[in-house]
Amino acid sequence: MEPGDASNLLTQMRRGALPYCVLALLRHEQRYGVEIVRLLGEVDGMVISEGTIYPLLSRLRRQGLVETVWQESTAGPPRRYYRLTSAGHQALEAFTTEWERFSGAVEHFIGKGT
Amino acid sequence: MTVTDTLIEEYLGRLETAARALPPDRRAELLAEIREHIDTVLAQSADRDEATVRTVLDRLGSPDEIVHEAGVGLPEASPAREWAATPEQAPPRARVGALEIAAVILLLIGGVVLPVIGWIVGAVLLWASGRWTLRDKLIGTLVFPGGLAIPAYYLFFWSASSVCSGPADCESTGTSAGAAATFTLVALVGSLASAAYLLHRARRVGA
Repeated sequence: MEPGDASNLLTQMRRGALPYCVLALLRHEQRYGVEIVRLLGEVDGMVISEGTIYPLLSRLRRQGLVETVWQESTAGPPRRYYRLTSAGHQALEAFTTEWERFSGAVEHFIGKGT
Repeated sequence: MTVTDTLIEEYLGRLETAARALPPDRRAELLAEIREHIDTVLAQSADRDEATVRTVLDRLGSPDEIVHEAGVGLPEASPAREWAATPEQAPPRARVGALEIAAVILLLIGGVVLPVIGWIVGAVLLWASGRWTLRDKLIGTLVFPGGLAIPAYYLFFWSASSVCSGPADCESTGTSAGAAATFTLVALVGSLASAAYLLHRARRVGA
């Protein structure tokens, strides 16, 4: 394995997991774009360019996993809120189950405990 | 136009240029969303000076990066679906198969070539095929049993019996002959329509 492989793999994993982190942010409530971007940005290692979240949100909408509603705001222009569809909830639950299994298995082998 | 407005318009201009390869509706959507983001963040921040605007734009990332992300999955690849709890069944992709064509042909003229048996074989093929729904199969079977056999035999016997010995003989069977002719016509049109419908359905599923 080349040293570069690991960082490449991590980039791929981040890219793959990011949509589910977005879905997870919407699990209990609807949020608007800037809010989603901000919450993802608060956690180190998740997002590098905030602007890339919007194409991701569009994709989730086209896949029927989220839907948007417009709402007036007290400060600034009306906001586009994103919320999970039932397909989005299903996709999130399915991923969560698999992710817990997978991350638990990886942790079992490479975690500090061994 | 203020300095900060110019900065924002410049950024959006570069984004628009970078997004040229995207379909027009996606490009418009992306530009609208990024503009909303900038407006919302600035509306929430204490001031709108040049440094603030530059920070907002820096955090968005380069237009190329954003467009690259927007181009992911063109044409639509949906990694999310792989995780969906209820994977959608892809419709069968095969073209209309020999089985389906044989079924339609036999339903239509099987009974003419080989009375009763020919049509039954067609019906068995119809029900054996996975390309039709239950409703399709019922329509194929019930419209009409025998297919073109009934119209064909009617025409055959009608032409045979039309050589009547006298005007009286022919007239006496007039009413029932009329009813039979109507029934034949219905069976003829029905069978042809049913066959066309089955072919259409078989092709539609495969499309």
